[in-house]
Amino acid sequence: MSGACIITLPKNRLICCRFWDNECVLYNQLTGETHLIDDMGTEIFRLISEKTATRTQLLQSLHSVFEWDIDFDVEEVLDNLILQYQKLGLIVVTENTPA
Amino acid sequence: MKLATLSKKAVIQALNNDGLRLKVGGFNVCLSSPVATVADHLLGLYGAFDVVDHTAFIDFYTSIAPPSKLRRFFRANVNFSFDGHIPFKPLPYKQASALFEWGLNWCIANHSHHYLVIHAAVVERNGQAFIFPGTPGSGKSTLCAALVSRGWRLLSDEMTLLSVADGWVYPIPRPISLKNRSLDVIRDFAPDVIMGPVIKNTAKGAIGHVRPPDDSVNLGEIPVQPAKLIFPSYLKGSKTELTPLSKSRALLKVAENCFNYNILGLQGFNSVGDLVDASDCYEFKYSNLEEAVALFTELAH
Amino acid sequence: MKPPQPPILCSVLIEPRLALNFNLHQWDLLIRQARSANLLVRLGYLFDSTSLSNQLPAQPLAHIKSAQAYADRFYISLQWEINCIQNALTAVNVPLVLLKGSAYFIAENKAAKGRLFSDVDILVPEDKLLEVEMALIKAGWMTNTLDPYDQKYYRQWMHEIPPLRHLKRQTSIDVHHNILPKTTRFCPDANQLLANSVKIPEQNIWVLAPEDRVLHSAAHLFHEGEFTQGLRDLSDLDLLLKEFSTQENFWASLLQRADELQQQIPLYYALRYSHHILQTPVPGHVLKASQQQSPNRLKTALIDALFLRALMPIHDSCDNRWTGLARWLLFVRSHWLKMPVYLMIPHLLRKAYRRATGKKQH
Repeated sequence: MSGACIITLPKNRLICCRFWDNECVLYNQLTGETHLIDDMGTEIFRLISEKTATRTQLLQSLHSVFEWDIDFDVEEVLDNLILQYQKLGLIVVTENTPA
Repeated sequence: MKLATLSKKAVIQALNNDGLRLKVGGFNVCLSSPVATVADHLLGLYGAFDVVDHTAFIDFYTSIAPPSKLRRFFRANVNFSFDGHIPFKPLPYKQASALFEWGLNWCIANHSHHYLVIHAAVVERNGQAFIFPGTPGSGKSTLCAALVSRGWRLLSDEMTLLSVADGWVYPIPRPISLKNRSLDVIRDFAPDVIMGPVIKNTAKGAIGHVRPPDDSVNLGEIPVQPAKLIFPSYLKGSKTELTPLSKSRALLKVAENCFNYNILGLQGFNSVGDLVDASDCYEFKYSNLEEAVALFTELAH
Repeated sequence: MKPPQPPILCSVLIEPRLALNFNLHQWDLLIRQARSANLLVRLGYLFDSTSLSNQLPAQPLAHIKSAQAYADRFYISLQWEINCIQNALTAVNVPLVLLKGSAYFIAENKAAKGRLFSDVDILVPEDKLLEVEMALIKAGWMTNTLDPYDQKYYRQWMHEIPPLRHLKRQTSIDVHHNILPKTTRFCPDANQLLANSVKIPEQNIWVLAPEDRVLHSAAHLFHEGEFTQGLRDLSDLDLLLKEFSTQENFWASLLQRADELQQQIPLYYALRYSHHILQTPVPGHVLKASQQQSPNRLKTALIDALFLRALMPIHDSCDNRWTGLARWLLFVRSHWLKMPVYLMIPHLLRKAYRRATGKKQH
């Protein structure tokens, strides 16, 4: 996944989020599914529910919030999460192609 | 006018003709039934309930009756019907009064989407609603009966009606339904409670109903603000243990225990969200009712 | 056989303002009739659209609000279901043509308001049937009916394949290749229906032309054997007719289209009974033109006696001693319309047998 990818919540307030500390619960209005998200996932949704972010921006923000062991592959975990959330219809990923 | 002020004959007559019209919490329920045990059930446990007159709006027209006049002769089965619609299979005649309680639960759960209907017992003390969601076996009704026997106000032992409009809990005080071992537990814990006859061999085992306190019935239309959300589990021999639960996990657990969370959609999500925001949320393990009651009384201060 | 008094529900569907003067006892009856006719939600929308909702007593309003909450969620699920079906059909490149309730919904017809149903109905060309069925099965639907008699009955005589149910969502879809069974004496040409279908703006979804939507609704109601939703269906017709009649030349093209699709008789009944029961404003000359298709006068009197009963809500307050008989006669009539006699008798016997043995009917 390229760093310039833009990650957003789906249109029309389809996904509603409620945050408590390091956890959040998401409701998908279309499918009626409710999801519990914690830790890194919560931070991702906290960020993109405020404004759209590129993958690079997400990574930066996560680095400022969490401290990881040196051998922890943040990028791999992040990409995995993004892929999962995308499959569940919780986020939209658009390739940012230069005009 | 209270049902208790009517003669037994008048109650039976109403049940056999166009129905007995009772005010149950915020609902008016009309019940007709030729079954004698249903009359006894009402006379024994619904004495404090108001009877409404023929000009009132009835929310649920119900009946408990044998499927046909022919079969009535054999007295084999009874059906619950909601305004001519029969939602479940008939049950043995002896279970008629339990069928009425289940049928009324069904009516409320399916036709009250102006509430979030949580499968939970709810009681009040000092203006605070304590909500105990529970899967069968969690002991929510036992806990509820125990608290009520010690002066807590009963809002409901089975379904918590959380108004979608204002987020308050609206009472629907009715007889508390106890199963199997809980019957003896409550008889020992509170020998003064009034209990109807025990119905054996139902789908849920032996069932008995505890008469709701008159005070709770009289306050049947006064809502209460939610304060505590407590997920009980009865564990034989366990210590009394109250553990805080995160709001997000509480939200999911409430959603799982609702009758109409899916139907209410976003509204349901917001209602449960507001509920967990307004409440302290806990998981609760217990085996000793005295300790449980003492702990909650302390918590309600 | 005197026709029963018009139910309070019909009066309010015609003039919602009447309800403002109701006492609680009348409200009580109205809510019960509306619920049993599956029209409680529509009643709510009717009050909303006439700005009466805030003047209603709290108790009946609670029942209306409750039913509306259910309906709101239903429409969201329906939209999701339509998206899923559309995705499945994209794979085989067959355009999605929605019928009945889902069509009203996607076309934002007034008849969609308060119409709750359990199946999404779609129309596909008969030669694409197998492809579509396979595509749906691939996307998670599976056939509901394993009974070989049912399978054979559907595939040989019906205008649809046996309903498919989605394994995960438990939703149901009826795939039609026509709007009436092949055995119906006046079966329309499905190609004509498809040829006139109209596209929903900005979506890759199609619905029947307005006239055809009316004719399908009429054909469905007046060929249908079971009138459990009779008044609801008639109210659909009432709303469709009122909405489309503002289109230029609608009535003339409706009559012409009925000719082309051989649906003159259902249209005659639709206009007659929606005008009669719900006072749908059908112009006199249209009623008259459609009446030319009418059966002779004696038969009209008989059919009137039957339909005026069967189209009432199924509720104790609306039944008189003849209602059950009327419903049964119409059930037999609908089978007579759909099937040649040699087919009908064994089928009805089969139905009766299945009923006796307590098996689920299709």
